[in-house]
Amino acid sequence: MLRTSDVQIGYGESTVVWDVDIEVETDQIVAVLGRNGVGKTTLLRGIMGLNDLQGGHVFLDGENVSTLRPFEMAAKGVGYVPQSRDIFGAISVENNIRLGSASSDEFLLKSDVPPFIYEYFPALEEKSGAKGGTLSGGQKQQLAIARALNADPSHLLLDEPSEGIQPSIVHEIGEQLKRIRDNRGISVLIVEQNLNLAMAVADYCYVLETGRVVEQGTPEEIESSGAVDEYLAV
Amino acid sequence: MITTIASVVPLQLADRVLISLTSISGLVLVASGLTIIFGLMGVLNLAHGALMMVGAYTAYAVQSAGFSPWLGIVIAPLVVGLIGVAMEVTLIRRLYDRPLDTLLATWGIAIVLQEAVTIAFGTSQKSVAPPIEGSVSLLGVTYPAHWAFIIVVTIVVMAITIGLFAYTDIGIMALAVIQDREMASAVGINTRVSDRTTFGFGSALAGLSGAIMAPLLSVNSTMGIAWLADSFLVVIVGGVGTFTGTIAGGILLGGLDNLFRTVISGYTSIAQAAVLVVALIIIRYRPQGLIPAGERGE
Repeated sequence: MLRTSDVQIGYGESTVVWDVDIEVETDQIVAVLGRNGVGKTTLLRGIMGLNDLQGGHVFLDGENVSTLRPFEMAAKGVGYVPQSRDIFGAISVENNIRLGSASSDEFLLKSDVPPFIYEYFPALEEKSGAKGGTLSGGQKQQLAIARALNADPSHLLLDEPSEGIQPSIVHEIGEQLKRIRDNRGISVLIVEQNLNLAMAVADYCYVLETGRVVEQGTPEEIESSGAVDEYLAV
Repeated sequence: MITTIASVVPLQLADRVLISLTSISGLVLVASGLTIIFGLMGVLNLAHGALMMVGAYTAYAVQSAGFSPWLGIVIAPLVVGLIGVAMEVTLIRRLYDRPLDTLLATWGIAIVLQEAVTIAFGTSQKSVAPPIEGSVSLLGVTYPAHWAFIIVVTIVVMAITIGLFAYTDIGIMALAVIQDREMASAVGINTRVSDRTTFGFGSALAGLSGAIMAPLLSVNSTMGIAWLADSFLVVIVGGVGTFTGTIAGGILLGGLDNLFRTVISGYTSIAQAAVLVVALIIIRYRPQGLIPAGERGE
């Protein structure tokens, strides 16, 4: 289980995320919802160790991982898919995926890409030899997820996977996230502005407003609470 | 100004091709370390020439102590590689996002290295014996064996370096770190170790080039300055971030330098200026270089 306790995260002197407590249970997809700029990405970066915590703690399966650096979080089984689909553009698709297991002791270039990854994302197999930078936006998003999956993580952190992606691909990504949870037993923490995607895949939701959790519950509870109109309407 | 060995050896027209090859090889060899540190890592390392100079002095010191010139060639990259690692750990690591500060810091390091060498070895020119004496016969001309050795070493070094970055885990991870340090860390790569290793390797190549080239040059504490400028020109004209670009840049600029020296015989400065003009024209109309890096990510 991934849990944050009273975390405060920011940049320099300014604080963006205030006293946030969230929990991601095993085999659960949890969505953090909120408008642009409310601190969703900062929260994810703080959990991953990309931003230092200004306060509070992050626990992974009961262990305090608050001070771990990103590569140490990866070694603990936390996969990260960033907002900007940061794939390694000058490296082949296949080696991008292999780099996902960089924290393992195995030789990357001698290891095969696990077949399940190409089953989830067949377009990547067709382009396995192409440079990552030549892929379309949707394919880059798939590659970023595939790379994170190759580490066989226990938890996957996804930062707005729908951003800039055409609706049909967004739907496909949503279906794949559910398959990943159901078939691979991976817990997913997704931050999203896309309400449709988040509500379709999430088991539990948190609503963030100016860096604080203002509502939480199942997707149904969130919809009936009025939070959608109050905090999520554009 | 393109530095060539042509200025320090008596020339015959029949030797021009082989001399050009040696000159080009020397340029590419010296620029290879900068290809990694500046071209790939994006660090404006103004200490590159000084690192090469330290490599040359290391070779001199080893020989002066009575050891084989071969030992100098082995030790020089190790010594300079360690200096590079120390630079990365103490200064460069804090300056990856601050190019202007990097310029100042590396220029400062260059001055410190020059002064340290002057204090340790004095101001007089030093000479270094080549590891291979004698001559070989190539293309019908008698050719110093050490010159042929420089060509062979350059080919081997470039092949190993290209292979290292294309076909090894360390190389692929280094490329990932260079492209996106934050994301590389998030996939599990210890970026500090990778940066340190890559910078140290680039520095080691500078040291190796200094030791290899030392027998052809007057070894003094400021010898690296001209090579620094030449190396940046080769890397930029060839295409920043590609080893094949560095080779192309070295072939073009080194070849033109020797050609102009032959055509404009007796006017070395004009020949050097002509090479610089060609380089500027290329940079003006092809800023990405002769062989540009491919997709570098977003």
